Amino acid sequence: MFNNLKAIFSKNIFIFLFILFLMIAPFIFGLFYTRLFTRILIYGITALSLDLLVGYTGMASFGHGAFLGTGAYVVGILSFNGFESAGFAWPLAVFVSVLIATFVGFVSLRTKGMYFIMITMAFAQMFYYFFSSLEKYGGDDGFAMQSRNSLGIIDISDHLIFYYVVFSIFMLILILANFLVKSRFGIVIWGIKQNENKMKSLGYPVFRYKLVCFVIAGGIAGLAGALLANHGQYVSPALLHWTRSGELLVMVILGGLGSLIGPVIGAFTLLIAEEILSGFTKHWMIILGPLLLFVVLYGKKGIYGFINKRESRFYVGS
Amino acid sequence: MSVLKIEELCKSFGQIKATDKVNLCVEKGEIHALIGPNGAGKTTLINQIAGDFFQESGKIIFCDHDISKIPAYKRALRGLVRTFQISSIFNNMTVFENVALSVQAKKGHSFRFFKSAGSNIDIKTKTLDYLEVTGLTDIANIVCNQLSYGEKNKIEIAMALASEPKLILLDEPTSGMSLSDCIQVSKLLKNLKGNYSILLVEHDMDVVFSLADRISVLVYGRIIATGPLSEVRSNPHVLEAYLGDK
Repeated sequence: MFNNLKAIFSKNIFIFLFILFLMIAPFIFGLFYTRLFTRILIYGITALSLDLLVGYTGMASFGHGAFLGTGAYVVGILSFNGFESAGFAWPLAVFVSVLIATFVGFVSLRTKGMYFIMITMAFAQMFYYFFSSLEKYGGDDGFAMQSRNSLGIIDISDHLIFYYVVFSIFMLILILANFLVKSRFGIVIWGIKQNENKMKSLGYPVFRYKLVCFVIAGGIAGLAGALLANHGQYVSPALLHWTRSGELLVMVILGGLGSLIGPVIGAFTLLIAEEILSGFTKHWMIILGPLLLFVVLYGKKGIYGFINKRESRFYVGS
Repeated sequence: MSVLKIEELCKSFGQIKATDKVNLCVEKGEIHALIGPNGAGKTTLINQIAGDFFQESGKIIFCDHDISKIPAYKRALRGLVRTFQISSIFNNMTVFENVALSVQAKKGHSFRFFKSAGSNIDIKTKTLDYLEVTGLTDIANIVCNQLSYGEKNKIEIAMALASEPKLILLDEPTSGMSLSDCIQVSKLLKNLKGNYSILLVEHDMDVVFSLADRISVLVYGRIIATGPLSEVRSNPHVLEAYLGDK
């Protein structure tokens, strides 16, 4: 665990500073921005999980919002019916997302490229309309949660404490994902991204690896959804809309495909830009658009690519 | 004893019979060359043997098991390994990582999420062995997109060896190569002779004649002759169809 942390930090001083910054951000910026940073971390977790699909395995999923929304709805519906315990609701949110990801993955992973994009988007829209049709839970508008979940002696109704709960989960997922992408499983999915046919001819059951990766990413997004429901104390089908999945993809591409911290930087950049720019004009995308163009044209690996030139390798020396 | 036996294999694309009742047998330890003019269906045949396409009818027997209906990756795990005509490797990986990935495929499933891939000593030493055999040790840590065509084909062969094959399907290992690369690869193949069973598709007749134990000639999806070098060379059908103007 410790070595792994060291590995994350020692790669680049910027990463160390970025995480340090996230750690102390609430004390620098005060309460209002604490809530913004909580949102950034939650979207960071989601974007990171999406990058396991897009950047590491080469599966451009346009429906990742479905898992985020499902996680949020599980927590919301439980809370609505009086189940307030986070210890019960959050794992269940992950579990349901995993189930749905297994089903969606099982069907959509039979396709590739553009078809995969379309079919994941279609699934997300199906879930969007499903949740929109739940009249009991606010239909199109969604519904508010009475209060945040209860997490034992930790009082997460306090924004600052909730921030650090989210931060801890974020760090845990970052570390676990770092293990994942360096493992034997990690090199297999990287191989699939580069040359799927060759992986088959080497004897790897490619479909199985892709499905497992898809399910892991879906589970993480489900957890992020549970956190997001708690964060805003509001659950709405907008989380599952395809534009949200698009935003998640923008975060990943802007921050840096094929890295773990990159998507977090992407989420950070997008949400901060939205916060600042939308103060000037509601057409803030007009300013963000060119930025995205610049990053995509000049740095294939996104913002992270500009600050980190070194590629990590599975085998060093020989 | 035969490693591979193909019986009455058929496959057509629309009106074209790409594989027309093909019978073929590869003995253990031999290099069996498959030659034929362009469009004869050589690569189509290789694709069916490897499981990348399925045949319409006929049987493929590999090491006494009927593998006609099992998918490509399972055939690979049983030791039926192919290389691709246009070298197909992992371009953003180092040479070492490429070969290691092939070694890893034989080490049971890779649903291992925590231990770092690089910490497995067994994979490392095996990979080094195969790099040594194929003369790639010096460039082990170079990323493949910086390598020449010939080197890439050597990596393909190294990866094929690393998957502990019972039969290697080599699809034009020297195609599009410079002369020096070509000499290197055929030297490498000569070193393998006797230790591995190989079905070799090749255009370069010098390579075929210097390596092959037996030759089969495929024309319009049919095998028109099979036998040792001298026999095939003087077969009138072959002369007419293929070697005629040589």
